[in-house]
Amino acid sequence: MATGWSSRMTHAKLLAAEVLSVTVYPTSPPSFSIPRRSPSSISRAEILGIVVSLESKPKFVKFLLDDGTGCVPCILWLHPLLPPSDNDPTPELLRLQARTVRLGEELRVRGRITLYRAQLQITVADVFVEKDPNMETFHRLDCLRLAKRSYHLHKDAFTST
Amino acid sequence: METLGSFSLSDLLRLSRPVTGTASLNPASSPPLKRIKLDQNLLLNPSLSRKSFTPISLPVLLVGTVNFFSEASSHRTGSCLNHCLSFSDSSATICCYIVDFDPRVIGQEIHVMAWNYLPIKQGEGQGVLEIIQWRFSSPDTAPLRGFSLSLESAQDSGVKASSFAFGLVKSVSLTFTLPIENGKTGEMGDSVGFLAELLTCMCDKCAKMRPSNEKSGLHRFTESKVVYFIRPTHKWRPVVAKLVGKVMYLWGLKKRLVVVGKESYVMLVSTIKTKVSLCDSVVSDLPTDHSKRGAYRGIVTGIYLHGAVIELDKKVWLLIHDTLLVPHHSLRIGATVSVRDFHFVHANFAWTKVIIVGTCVMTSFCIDSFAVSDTKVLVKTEEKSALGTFVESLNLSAKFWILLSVSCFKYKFRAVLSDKELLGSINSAGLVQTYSSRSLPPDVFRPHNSMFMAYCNHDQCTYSSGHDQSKCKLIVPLSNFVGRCEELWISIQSEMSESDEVHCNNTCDGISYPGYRRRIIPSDDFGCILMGNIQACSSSGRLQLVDATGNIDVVIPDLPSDLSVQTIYEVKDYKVVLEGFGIEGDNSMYEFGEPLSCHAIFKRQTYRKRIHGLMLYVQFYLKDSVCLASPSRAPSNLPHSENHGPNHLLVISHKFPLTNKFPFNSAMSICSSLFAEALIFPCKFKRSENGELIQLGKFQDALDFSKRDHKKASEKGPWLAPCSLASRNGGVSATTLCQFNVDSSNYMVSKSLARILLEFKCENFFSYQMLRIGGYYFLNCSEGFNPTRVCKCWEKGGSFVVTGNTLQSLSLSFSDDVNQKEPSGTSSDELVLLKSLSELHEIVDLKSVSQGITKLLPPSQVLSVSSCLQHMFHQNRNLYGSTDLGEQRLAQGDLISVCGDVEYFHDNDCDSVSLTASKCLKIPNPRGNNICIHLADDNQMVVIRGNLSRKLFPIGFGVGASATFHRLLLTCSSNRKEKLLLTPVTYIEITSVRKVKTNRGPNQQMFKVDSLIESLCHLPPLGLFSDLHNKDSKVTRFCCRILTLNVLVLESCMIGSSPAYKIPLAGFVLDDGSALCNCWTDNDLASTLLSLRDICSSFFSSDFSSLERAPKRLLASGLCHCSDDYSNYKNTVGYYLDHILKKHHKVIVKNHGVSLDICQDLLFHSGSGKVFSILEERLLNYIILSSCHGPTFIATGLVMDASATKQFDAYISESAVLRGCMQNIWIREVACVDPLKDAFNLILDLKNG
Repeated sequence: MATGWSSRMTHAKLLAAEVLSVTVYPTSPPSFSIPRRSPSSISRAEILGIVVSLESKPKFVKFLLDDGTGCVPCILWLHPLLPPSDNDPTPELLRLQARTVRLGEELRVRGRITLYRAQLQITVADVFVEKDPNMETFHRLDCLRLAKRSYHLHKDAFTST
Repeated sequence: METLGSFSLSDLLRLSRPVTGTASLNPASSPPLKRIKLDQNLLLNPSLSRKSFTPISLPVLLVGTVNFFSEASSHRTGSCLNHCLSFSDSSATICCYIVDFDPRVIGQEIHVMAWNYLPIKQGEGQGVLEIIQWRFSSPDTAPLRGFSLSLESAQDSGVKASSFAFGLVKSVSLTFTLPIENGKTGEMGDSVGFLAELLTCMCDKCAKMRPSNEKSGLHRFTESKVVYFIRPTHKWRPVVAKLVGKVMYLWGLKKRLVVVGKESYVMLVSTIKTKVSLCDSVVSDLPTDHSKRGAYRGIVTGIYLHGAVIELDKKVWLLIHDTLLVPHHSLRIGATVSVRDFHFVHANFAWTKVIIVGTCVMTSFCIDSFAVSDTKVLVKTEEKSALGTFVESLNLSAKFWILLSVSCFKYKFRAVLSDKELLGSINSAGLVQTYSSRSLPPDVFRPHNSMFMAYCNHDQCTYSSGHDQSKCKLIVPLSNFVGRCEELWISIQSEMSESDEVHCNNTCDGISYPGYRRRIIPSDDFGCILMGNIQACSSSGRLQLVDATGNIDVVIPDLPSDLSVQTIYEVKDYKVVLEGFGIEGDNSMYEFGEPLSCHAIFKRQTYRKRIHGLMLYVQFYLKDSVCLASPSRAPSNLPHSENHGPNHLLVISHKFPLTNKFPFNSAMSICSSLFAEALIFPCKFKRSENGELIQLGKFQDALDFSKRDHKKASEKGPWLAPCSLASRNGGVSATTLCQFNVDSSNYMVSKSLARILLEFKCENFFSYQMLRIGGYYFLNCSEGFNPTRVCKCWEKGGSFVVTGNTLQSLSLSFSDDVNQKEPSGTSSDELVLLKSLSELHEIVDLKSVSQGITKLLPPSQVLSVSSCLQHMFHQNRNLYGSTDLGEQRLAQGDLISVCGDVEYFHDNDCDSVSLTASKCLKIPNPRGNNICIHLADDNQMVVIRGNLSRKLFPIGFGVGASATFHRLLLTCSSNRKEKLLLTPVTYIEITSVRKVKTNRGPNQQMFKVDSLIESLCHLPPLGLFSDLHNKDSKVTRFCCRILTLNVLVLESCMIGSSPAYKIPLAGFVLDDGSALCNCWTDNDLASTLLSLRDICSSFFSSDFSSLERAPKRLLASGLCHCSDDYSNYKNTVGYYLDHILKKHHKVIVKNHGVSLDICQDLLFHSGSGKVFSILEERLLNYIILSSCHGPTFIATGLVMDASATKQFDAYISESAVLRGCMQNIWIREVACVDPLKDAFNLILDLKNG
């Protein structure tokens, strides 16, 4: 995997169980690394799963994404951090994305790994609705490939996986 | 004290129904007798059926005398002669049979205390009394001495008969008639009598007729002597037969030399002075050295073919030796019988194994207990038919087979053939005999001897030979065959579930569907021969093999047009196909009871098809079958009857499939007519009397008649295409040469061919089945030849009702027939259902002349799946869609023909597009399932959807079928995706079927996955951005998503008069999970990545109030056309870009943001120097943000070196450089992820890595 800046900007393709088991380093902001893998830290992840819980608020949408290995809490903020300018369609696009988050929907989610009240979650950058269920299999295999090739998963860890 | 009723036999005869009576359960008591008159009122239950025994309500007793039948008795049958005694009182005489027989009963009056009476229907006033319990009338009348038989009236005659015999009765023959010639006087006559074999003792005492009574052990009964009981002692046969195994004295015999043919035998012959008595004091067992003969006691469980075949204990088949032998009156179902001295074989027939017991001249047969339920008395005519003689000339197993065949033939063809046609008569052979004599091997025939010879030469009896009869196959009734197939299907299902076989479930759109199974079973596994008429079913339109018991769907790849529907065909070599989805539920609910067992065949058990999900059909070639017989009473309606009228030459362009008009009643004919479309050649032919074809009128003349504009073609000068035509019918192989004047322009001539509709009524569905799309046929013209008038057949849009002999197939073929997929047919796993046209037609080498003819024909395009996909890809999507017709939408598109292999099919009720299509196209079957068919070739797969009832599936349709779909609708769904739809006119032609293998153990499964992966090996493995610095410069595939944009350059251009845009450069930051990468591309690929062709209705939807008026604003600012032609295009992002670029000429977007999360640092540069409006900036922002929220895709690209990236320096902002330290690649190709294929590719990658 890339190191340094590029590593932090790359969205590591992970399974929910891996996201939930990352090691948290008490930096500011906190940094994360995946156990039994190369020590380089990650800050972003891409996961794929089914929405099993949903909470819609005016400012955010919270949902749980289940990929069979675990459930990852995700939060999609509907307002950007900075006030949008007139020429920025981001709020509309975020609201549009929020509308795609529905119970039972299979979503591919990218975002930052964050801590909220000592719990890991994904602060969503974008969501994409996957229509083909085979994508789940493909994602798993891709995670496995990346773990083996790029994240330098230890051999014993790979076997146990 | 209770009194006993006694009535006369005449009362019993008058009652004429089966009656049973008893005196008392206690034989010791003897209540007083009271004379009563027996009538219906005395019956316990007179309303009972006359087919069962009715008890008499009173204790009754029959009083009468048991004796032999007198020779003058008029109502004696063969049975009585051999087995019966007479029972008579003052009123009548009837047959009787006594279970606990005592020979002393002869001539004595007895009281019958338990009895059954059965009327014999053959003659009036006849009946049989079955005596279960009896006693002598009074102790006074019981004979004090032992048993003896003699003819009292003749004791004082002067006949010299000094010979005697003392021995053990070994066997007794049946009574027979022998023509004799007196050696002394030369007088001719018939001798009626029977033979008895005695084993005599050769000790001195016995020789002097003074056997020692005290020590029976001293006697050794080893010497065989034959005694010939001739008239009048022949009537003793019922008694002597009961003495088998007992020692008896015989006096008053004569020693005679009997010469039969070249053989002479010394034997003792009875005289009128002969006397028989039992020697009770000497007891001896019969020798047990008869290895081939034995004794069997069992219960009769079936009597078939007038008693020729008797089933014992449901496992042993007893064949009665001679057709002349009438079995006992008491031989009925339920009786216990003993058989002694028989032959038996374990016969291994092709379909089953049976134990056969055969009686011969020496067999003794007696009833041990009577049947109480069955009251059917066997009566047999004594006429011996040719078939009977033939049957007697066979060994046991062959005899059993032919008797079974008689039953089958009668069962199968009773409706179409008379008994005489089937079984023959006294002098002539019927179908059964001619068929059997042809089918049986020569070693089953044995020399047929007279009964006398057979008895005397019994040691040489070869009856028991021929146990292996694997060549004898069952001529199976079709209903039994269907039952057997269903039984087999259930056992296949059970085996699969028992072996925990992995079901081959298929998925479509992520939904799993149950696995499909097909088994192809060769005829040898059944050991049966199929026989019947070939007809087209009026309800399903399918070809069927039919007999009186049932039918079965058939596929005949070499089906000719001259097949007679009245002819009985024998099919030995065939293959049965069982296919369908797995049966859910308990298999044990299906009980079939061995449909091919001899019991089921003899008993004529009928079976009906019960498993609805099973598709069952038989494939065979007509060339391998034998034409057996045409029934004489069938009307002569042969389709190939000689026709000397004019003919048209046709080529079939399409066949319209069956439609289900009455789906709720399967019994009803679901279609009254079938249709085919044909192109008719504008000329006529006539067959001359010597079989030659003569062309009537020339092609050019016909064109003139049509009054079409062909002058231009004529001016070019028509060229001659000689054509040799030969009809398959009538045995003409070579014919006259015809000449077509053919225009060199294909189009012109193709247009000049008239298109007609052929209509087939129910009775001519066979002709419809015979037709092949692309095949050539002669159409008999109803009109005579008139050179001055255009024939009505040739009028465009005309229709023609096809009758039995209207169409004749032509052996016209072309070597370049490439559209039909050639079925290999060589693989044992593949079964050909339809031969290719070129293979079907056997004559005429038209290579040299075919060009002219092929030019006449419109090209029939049958696309492969790959070609179909290409075709779909290249079609202009805008041409397709749907048209609103009121409330319904009518699908539009092209009709195409596609061939391929059906990989899978399933019900699919949730596809809105096909539902709509079927609805608007008015498919008449409301219950038809919405199905989804996966059609594939070696490389690609397409999905065909539509409405098709399972009842209308063509035979063979299923997974593993090689099929051609004619006239599929290629249309476009609402999401602009091309779709192939079944329409009501889609005709499905099944060329061949393959076995569907589901038996996949773990190893096989791995192998299957491996082989699939290997098939995908041509795909290069996916690379990683993080590995790019280690790699050589080569094209690599990456699975990635857009993270953000580096730079975007847009320029305006003009396509025709319309404004357009081009993208000279686009730079993205891509993320594949391992690292980020700068990727560069231009124009089309950039447009794809930016989704500029996608409809952005969401962006301009009412939810975005601020942008809702965007088009209007753009229009107001002069950025936009107002044209109706842009209905679709104006909703795309590209449409608005066109107009932005019209204003700015060139737009450069650079990303100056360091962070990748937001796009607030995009800078816009205008080529025209004009200021961007907020709306324009907003749209450009939208384009870029949307692309960053897009799907995962596969990008194929090449790593760029530093020198190559230098050219982009001008476009790259400093911040982008800051984000840098990334590799650069140039994208050559972008594709969607195929999750299945790419997943397999990943598996391979992981496995190898």
